[in-house]
Formats: sequence, structure tokens, C-alpha cells
Amino acid sequence: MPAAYLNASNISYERHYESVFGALTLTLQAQDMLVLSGANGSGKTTLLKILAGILRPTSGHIKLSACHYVGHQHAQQPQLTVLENLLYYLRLQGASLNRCAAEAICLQALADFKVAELATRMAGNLSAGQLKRSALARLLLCARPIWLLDEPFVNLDKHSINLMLKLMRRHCAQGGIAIIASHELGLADLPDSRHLRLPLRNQPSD
Amino acid sequence: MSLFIHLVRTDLQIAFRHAGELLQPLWFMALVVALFPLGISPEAAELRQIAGGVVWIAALLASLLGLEAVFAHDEKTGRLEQWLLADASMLTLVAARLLSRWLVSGLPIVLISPLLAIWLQLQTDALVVLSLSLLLGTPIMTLLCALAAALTLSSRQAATLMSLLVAPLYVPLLIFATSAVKETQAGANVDMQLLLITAMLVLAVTLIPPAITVALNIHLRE
Repeated sequence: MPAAYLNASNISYERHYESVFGALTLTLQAQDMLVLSGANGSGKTTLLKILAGILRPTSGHIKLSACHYVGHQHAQQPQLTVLENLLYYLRLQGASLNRCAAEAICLQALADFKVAELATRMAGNLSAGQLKRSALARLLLCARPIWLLDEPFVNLDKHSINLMLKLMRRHCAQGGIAIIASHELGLADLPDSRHLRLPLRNQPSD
Repeated sequence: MSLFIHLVRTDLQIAFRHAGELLQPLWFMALVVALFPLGISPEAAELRQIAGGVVWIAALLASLLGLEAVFAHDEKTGRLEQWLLADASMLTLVAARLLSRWLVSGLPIVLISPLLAIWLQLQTDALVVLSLSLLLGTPIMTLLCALAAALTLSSRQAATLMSLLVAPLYVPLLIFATSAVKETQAGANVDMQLLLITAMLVLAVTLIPPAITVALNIHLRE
């Protein structure tokens, strides 16, 4: 995996002429883990989407290595099995392998998330927590230095949260960067991480 | 290229697991066509007169069914967002979706049209022209519908808006196609109409996929 870096200088974002956040500067390097917190509407998701390259910042520059983005939506097709959904993403991520090799990678990712038994289940029939875990398995398909995770712990049980934390630590220890937006996670859960609290810019008027 | 094939295959897999949705436009077309002999006249001579127009109108209306499957389903689950992060150009992904959409919703219309034409007592030479015009016309329909679907992703009344957007663009297609069938019945040469439809197809295939790509980009990045 190439060395991870993320430089965001002075980025700001406006939606419908209202500032969501402004003049944010962020520098992260390999092995950094950053927890984004803030009230609902403070722009955590927006910031992650900007870093992922989905949204364009109103101003500022961003340079970063290749990233995975797992949003709060599961992004899975209900009429496909979990394995087929993963195969789809493996191809989207640019792997041109034969079917056997591709399936092996996907099954390994599911096994790492301890959800191997879900491989042949239709995504439409899964519980919210199972969907979340199979969505997070996308992170392990191909190595990309930056993980951008929007509320990765929602719907997960205690056991899965610990597993996810372990995988994030492993990813960072291998020279990656992880940015997690979460309001469930306190500093106590991740003592080795950095913490950024986004202030709420537009207080409701009432 | 392997990505393109994989995407088309996955889309087809999804469509075939939703067989009810797949058959819906065909069912609708057959129903509309079946009602005409009852409502107008069972006389072969009269049915023959209207056969081309009836099949084409039924096909145009059927193409407006199930448009959420083009982009809206993927938008709702967050899959569309992931397209932006793919290791392939948006145009490739859009093109794959368009091809699979035509295979699922356009091609069946072409295949069922001879059957419906026989039902309406259409002569063989006119039947061939009708099927040919649909073969050229259904990709245009698929492209226009997909463009409308992409443009209305942010709208709440997407279905109404889509049909309003698409209907005027269908008019020239309908006029030339039905004229081709009519002129064949009158024994005239219909190269002109078929070539015009081909020209429309070429125009649609070159211009619409990039337009859809831009529309999706604007929607996702807004």
C-alpha cells in the first residue's frame, strides 16, 4: 500500500448560500486516526463526502491518496446476494480478475468481518446490522490508504464494534489513515486517535 | 471492457430476479393492443389501418413504466454515490446501465411487436417495417427515458415530470415510424422514414449518454 497522506487547506462548504463549515485545515499522515464529532447538522457527512471527492468544496484545496468511502447508506442492491454485491464493488474498484479469484477476495473480506455465512443471502433480507457489516466488508476488498467512514458503528452490536475498531487499528498500523464520523464514539474508545469537533454553525432560531 | 460486461450482466441478473417488473411493460402493451379490436371494430380492414399507430403508441407508453429502475433505486440505496468513486469513468457506468436497460425494456417490446401486429391483422411486409422501426426506435426511447430519469432525480414528482419531458421528444419518432408502416401498406418506398429514424438514433446515442453523465454529476455533487 502506498504511503497515506491527506492535506486539506482552508476548505469551506456552502449549501444554498449558507455556510456548513468554513476555513477548515486538516493534515493527516500515515497511521493517523481521526474521529469527527459534532451535533446533528454540523457537517460531518458533508466533510467526509468532500474528502471522498463526491462533493466539491466551495473553496480550498484537498490532496489525498486513494480512499474508500462507506456512507451511512448501505449501498447494496437488495436483489443481489452479499457476495454478488461485493463482486460488483470489487469490479468498480478496478480489479480485473477472473471470477474465481474475485470470489476468493470477497469471501476473505466477509470472513475477516466474521460474516462469511451471509455470502449467499440476499441483501434485501438482511437485518440493518448485517447490512452494515457486509457494507463495511467493502473496505477490505482492495487496499486503499484512506478509509472514510460515516457512522460505521450504527446498528452494530458490541462484538462487531470491537471487531471494527480492531480492523481500523490494523489498517492504521499498516500505514493507512482512518477518518470516522460518529457521535457514539468517545475519546475513551480510541485513546490513540485525534479528535475534531465540528461546531454547529447555524443554530436553529427558536 | 470486462468491467462493462460485468456491469451489464449484474443489471440483467437483478432484472431477472424481478421478473414481475420485467413483464410489466409487455403485459401493459398486450392489454392496450387487445382492447382496440373490442373498442373500435373487429373488422380486419379497419384494424389494419390503425395497427401501426396502436402498436407504436402502446410501445411508447410502455417505455414510461418502471423508470425508477434506471437510476432512482441506486440513488436511494447510495450505490449511485459509489459510482463517483469507481475506478472507471462515469460514462462507462452510464453506458452499461443504458445497454442493460434497453435489453430489459426495449428489446422485449421489439420481440413482442410482430405478435401484436398479427393480432391486429397487419400484412407481412408492413409487419417487417413495424418491427424494424421498433428495433431502431426502442433504443431512442430508452435513451430519452434515461435522460429524463437522470434529470428528475432530485424531484419529488419525478414520474409526472418524466412523462412531460419525454412525451414531446417522442412525437417526431412516432410520426416517422407510423408513417413508415402506413406507406408500406400503400405500397410506397419507406427508406426515407427509416433513415430518418436511424439518424435520430445516431444523434441520441452520441449526445444522450454524455448528457446523462453530466446530469448525474450535477445531482450527486450539488
